Amino acid sequence: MRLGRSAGVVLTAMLLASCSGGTPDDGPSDLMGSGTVAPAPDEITGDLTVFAAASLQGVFEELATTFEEQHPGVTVALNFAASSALAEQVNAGAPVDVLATASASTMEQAAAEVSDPVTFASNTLVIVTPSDNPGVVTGLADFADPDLTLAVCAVEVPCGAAAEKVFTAAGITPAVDTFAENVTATLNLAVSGEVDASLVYATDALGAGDTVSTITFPESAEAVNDNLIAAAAQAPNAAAAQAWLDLVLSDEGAAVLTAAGFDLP
Amino acid sequence: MSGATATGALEVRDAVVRRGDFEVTVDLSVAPGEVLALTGPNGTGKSSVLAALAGLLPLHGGAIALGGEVLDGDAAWVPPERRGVGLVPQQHLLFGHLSAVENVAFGLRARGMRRRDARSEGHAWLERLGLADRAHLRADRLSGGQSQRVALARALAASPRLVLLDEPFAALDVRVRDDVRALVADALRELAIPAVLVTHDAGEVETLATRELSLR
Amino acid sequence: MSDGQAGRRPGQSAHAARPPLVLLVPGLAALVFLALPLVALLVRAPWSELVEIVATGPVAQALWLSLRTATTATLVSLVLGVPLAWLLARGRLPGGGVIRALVTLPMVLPPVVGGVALLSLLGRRGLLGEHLDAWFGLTIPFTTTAVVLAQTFVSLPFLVLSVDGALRGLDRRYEDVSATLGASRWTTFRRVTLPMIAPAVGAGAVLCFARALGEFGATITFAGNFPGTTRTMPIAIYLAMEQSPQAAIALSIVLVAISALVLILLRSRWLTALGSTT
Repeated sequence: MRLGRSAGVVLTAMLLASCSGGTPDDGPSDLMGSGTVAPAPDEITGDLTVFAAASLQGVFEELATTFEEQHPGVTVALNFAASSALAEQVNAGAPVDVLATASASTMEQAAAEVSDPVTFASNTLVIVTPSDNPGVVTGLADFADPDLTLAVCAVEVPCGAAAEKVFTAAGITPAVDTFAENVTATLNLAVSGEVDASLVYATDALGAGDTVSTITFPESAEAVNDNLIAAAAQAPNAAAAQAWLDLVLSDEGAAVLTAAGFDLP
Repeated sequence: MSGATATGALEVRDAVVRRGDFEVTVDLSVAPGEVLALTGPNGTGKSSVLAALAGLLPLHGGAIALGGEVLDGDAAWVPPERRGVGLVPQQHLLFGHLSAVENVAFGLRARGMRRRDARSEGHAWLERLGLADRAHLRADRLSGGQSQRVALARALAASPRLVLLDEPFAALDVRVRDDVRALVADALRELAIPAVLVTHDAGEVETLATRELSLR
Repeated sequence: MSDGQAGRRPGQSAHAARPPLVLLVPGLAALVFLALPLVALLVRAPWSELVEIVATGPVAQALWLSLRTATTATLVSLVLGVPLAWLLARGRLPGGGVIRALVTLPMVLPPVVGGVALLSLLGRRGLLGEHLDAWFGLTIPFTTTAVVLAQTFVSLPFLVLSVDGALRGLDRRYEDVSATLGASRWTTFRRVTLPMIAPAVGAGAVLCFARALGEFGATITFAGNFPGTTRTMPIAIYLAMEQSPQAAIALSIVLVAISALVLILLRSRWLTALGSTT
């Protein structure tokens, strides 16, 4: 699972994909927009490149293993980064088959390069504290306490925008000490005990296990963050892309997502 | 332009001067007012001997005493800044970022003399060496001959108890050399301190030195 | 005693001004390589909105914070770095080579790791920070002090290496002469050594300032990001990139312009005033 395969392999995969037989009704969709037909699952070969939001790393790595078992001819390459950075790369012509973002707005940024994005999971904010909760944080109201050291995501990234929404909904003026650059950094500040509390996604809190204490709060319903997935319009391996989408949207995919803390749409 | 504070003879007894693999043992004495010419072929350690006298190179045996005070040897060691040994190096080594007069006043300032007094003393020395009009020029703008004269003034103005001259005229133009040499001779006579002159020039030995020690 | 005018310095001869082709071609290639990306940035810049973007309060605030912290980090680096360089070059430290390598480590360390290292030491649960918090109620992360520390951590080596190199290249005989004139070692350092290595100190300080001004990874990791306190220009640019690359480019141009201005001013002053002393 790595990027940087030779162009020849990708080209071969494309040829195989486009030359394989079948009638237009055989495939689940028409991703290439040129009358090309996706083959039956066992005929899928080549490389599959998936760009996904950093928060999806655990889920997608697990699904990639499943996928490669189901389709032995395919090698999955996963690239995790901030959704906005991925959207930029897709717009810049990165050879990608599937894009999965952590928000609708970041998917919108790449709208011209993807086909029919769908919501496949959602995520809500929770409060995390160091496992011993040194600041004795109990709910969102504690974020107005200037004596506590508090972190939320910067408003420029999705988890920060969500945090702003819940504060507005709760009528709280937060006394935040730092606006971390992404949700992982925000979580790590709580894990390392540098702050008394952070606002992160439920999935991140679950992933951190015992290193943090998690507190849910009702206002989180005001900022449900949707995860969207779409095949790239110019996907080099459209057949594999569609198979990946099918897996993510299947019951099997749902089980992995739920286990990781995601809500399903 | 006061003379030396405590005049006294330089006594060097069985001094073992070592630099790298090279070693020389020196035995000499120079009385106040005397100029000892240290001669000999290149590589016989003349400059190393001067370095040892100045305190820049510790001895490996023997002793150096000046006016009865042991500078090196017998478990004594006086660092260069407290020896009162003036050095006029072969390449003048003026402080290029300072003016001519600041160079001359350097030793006086280092010993705590007030800036104004040190400067006026420095001016007096420059005037005496015919450099009054160069006093405020940065030292790195001076010509070779001017630089060597300033280096001489810098060493002598600090009222040394011993002065070491390491081929001070070698880098000079023939036209200037005689003039500078005459100035040095005058100054040394007046200060009445012991002096050691490293030179290759037989004529220089004749005109300046009172004695000659040849290293081999 | 008419021994003529001051000699011409060798570097000024007409002969030296003519570079051989083998040096000229790769040299110019390097210049183009460095300059073209910046030119591309200028071309892509949203010039019509530039003033609007830049004149906003938050940008001015970030810029002012960056200038203040980078200047402070440079001063701290000078006060600590020059003595360290002296110890490395002259101190006859045991294991000097190892110490020199240690000093350069922050240069190769990814800055984010530098930030983690600073947190490990000075964070609320860090080796030292734990006690600072317990005994004095002092917490360093998320303060402007943390920004200066992060910037100093990554930029100090530039100053130390520059000054260390100059000290090792310096002709020791000047310091010897100073000692024979009765100057203490401190006086010699202050009046002879330091002025003679001033161009290297200046160049090191310029590098140091530039590095501090552009510092991002260690800062955001150790100091965090809060407007007016810890949000420096590079952090503002990074976050702007999340939403509007155009705004990020505009901010970058401001940072590049300010850095270029400062560097040109400092360099030209140092080079003309002190460049001839070595």
